[in-house]
Amino acid sequence: MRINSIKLKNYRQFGDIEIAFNKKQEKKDVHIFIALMGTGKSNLLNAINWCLYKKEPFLSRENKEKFPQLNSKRIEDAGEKPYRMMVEINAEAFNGQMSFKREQFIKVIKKPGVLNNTCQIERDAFYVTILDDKGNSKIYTNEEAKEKVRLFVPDGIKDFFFFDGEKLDKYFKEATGQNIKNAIYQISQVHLIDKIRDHMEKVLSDLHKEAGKLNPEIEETRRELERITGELETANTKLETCKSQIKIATEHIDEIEEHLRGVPEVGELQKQKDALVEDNKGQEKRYLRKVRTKQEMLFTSGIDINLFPVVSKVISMVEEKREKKEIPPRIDPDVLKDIIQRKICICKRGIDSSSEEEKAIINLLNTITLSPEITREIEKMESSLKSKKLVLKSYTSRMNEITSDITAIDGIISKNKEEIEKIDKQIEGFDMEQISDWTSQLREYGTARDKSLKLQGVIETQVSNLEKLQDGLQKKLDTEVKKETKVADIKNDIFFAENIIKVLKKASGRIIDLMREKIQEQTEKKFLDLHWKSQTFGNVFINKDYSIVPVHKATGFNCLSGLSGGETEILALAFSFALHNISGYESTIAVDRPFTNVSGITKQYISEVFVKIGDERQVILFLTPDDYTSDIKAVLENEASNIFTMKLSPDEKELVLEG
Amino acid sequence: MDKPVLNKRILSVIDNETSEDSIANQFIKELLFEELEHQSLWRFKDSYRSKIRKYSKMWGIENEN
Repeated sequence: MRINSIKLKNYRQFGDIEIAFNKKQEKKDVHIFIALMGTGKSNLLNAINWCLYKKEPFLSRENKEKFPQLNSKRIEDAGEKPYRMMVEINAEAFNGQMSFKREQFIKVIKKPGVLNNTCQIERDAFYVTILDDKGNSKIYTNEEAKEKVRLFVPDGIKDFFFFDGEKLDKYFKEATGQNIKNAIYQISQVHLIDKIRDHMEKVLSDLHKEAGKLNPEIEETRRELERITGELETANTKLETCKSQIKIATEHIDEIEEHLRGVPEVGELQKQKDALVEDNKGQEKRYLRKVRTKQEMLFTSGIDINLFPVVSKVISMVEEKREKKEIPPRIDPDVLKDIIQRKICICKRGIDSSSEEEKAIINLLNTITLSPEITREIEKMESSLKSKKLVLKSYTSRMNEITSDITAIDGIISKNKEEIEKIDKQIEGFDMEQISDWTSQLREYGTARDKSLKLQGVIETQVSNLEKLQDGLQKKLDTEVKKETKVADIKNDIFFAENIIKVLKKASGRIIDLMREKIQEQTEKKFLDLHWKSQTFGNVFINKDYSIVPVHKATGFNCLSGLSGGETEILALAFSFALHNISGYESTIAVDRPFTNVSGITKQYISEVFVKIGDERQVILFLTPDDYTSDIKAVLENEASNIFTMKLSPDEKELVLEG
Repeated sequence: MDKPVLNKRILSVIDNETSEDSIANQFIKELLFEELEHQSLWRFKDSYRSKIRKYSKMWGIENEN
């Protein structure tokens, strides 16, 4: 990956400028910027870093605080509208092009007095545009855009691509083992393995929790289901037996009913007959009682009853006599006889013989037929007779009543007998014993069927309830089995995850070791390849603590502290180069003032090293005219694709590029 | 080209460490590419769970065989 061009607008010394890094034929991909101190060399490196990472590592803290990023000319001209500050890097990548563009809209707020102006960022934006070899482009912003920067050079290892040459001699003092370890972690992507391991462990913890929550009750449910199924089977067997009994009873009933078809209701008739016979038995007893009563009455009161007409007649006669006023006599005959005899009336007056009075008395005496004694006897008798008549009258009435009853009972008995005869005629010719047997069987089968039907209803309810229970338990068992299956699945998942974690743990260590070995191998190779005194050094080691140890060939000692500034720079470049190779980020190397700490012939050697590197990748070097001495110029001038001279404008506020 | 590239050496180590377990190999590689896509924080749990389920099932079947 190489930088094709950089566009800068209003960024520090850069007013509006575009730098194209064209590689010329027959030349190396080496590009040189020559400028006096303070012209803006380092700020071009800062511009690259600001665009990609929003950082300015080649700026001293003092300058960072002192000078705003916005071009000073813009600050002076400050108007109402905000200024656009922008850095855009166009790079060539894999099989397409990438453009990184960061821009800010800055408003300058002017205040009276020197250095009192302030800059206010109105809007800040970062875009990455990717254009593939088919001409398709896609724009990414925000976090997505930051992700794409990783394709160029990740933030974590950028310091191994963009160097400050002034610090290269202290490279292995400042780039501690921890920094190197971090770089190896970044480029090896072992952090991805560790991240996966961390995520796996979190998911594994969740799996353990989940498995703990599931507690299947399979056996308990299965036992209960078996019990209910057993009960259901028993109930179904009972039901079948019951249905079979009903069927048998129904068949028998149908058979018997078939036999009894056309046969009178013998049972009913027999019942009727039995009732009639029974009734007659009662009636006959009653009849006998009545007859006995009548006989007793006749026996005890027969004479009196026979006398009833005589008594009645006597009483009538007496009543007749009384009507005729024959009784009682109005005058006592003895009195009349006495009057006639004495000839003195009862009124003491004398009565003459043959006188009218006497005649009248004699006539009167002749009218009197009954003597007072007889009359008295008759009257006595009449009273007795009347009493007797009343008694006799009651007897008669009672006798009539009994007689009537006897007649009625006799009628009933006769009628019953007629009915019995009728029934006898109806059932005549049938085998009563057989019919009775059938009828009895019919009754028994009917009773048995009724009982079975009732039992069937009960069992059917029981079966229905058991089926519901069985269904519920089956569903519960299914759920529990699913739970068990889930638990088994989770256990498998746990086992699998644990195995993966083991593999990742092993792989992580292996990758780090491998990377370290590879970087060590590459660093050594490159260092010996680039170094002009390749016979002086034996091996370069990267220890387990990531410290770099160049070994003196003759003595076998660690000679890091004995390396010259130039040698340290070569080792640093070799190490970076190894990192580039191993990481696969074969991006641009940019070095600000690479010859600061070297002198004499070493400068020439190092410049030759950069030319060598330029065979493989883009190299951008920032030099001062003092760095660009004639011997350096002799090496670089014919090899570099571009040599730019950076100057400040006459007002010293903007940079002017030549070349 | 806009996809991040996975270091070939990491894949080589994973291949070595899982030389007898093609399913674990496939699983780890799938996660590596997924993690490479998500450099910042992301909701990894659902994705991990479904992958673990899928591969552990395959793993179980293969081990049974």
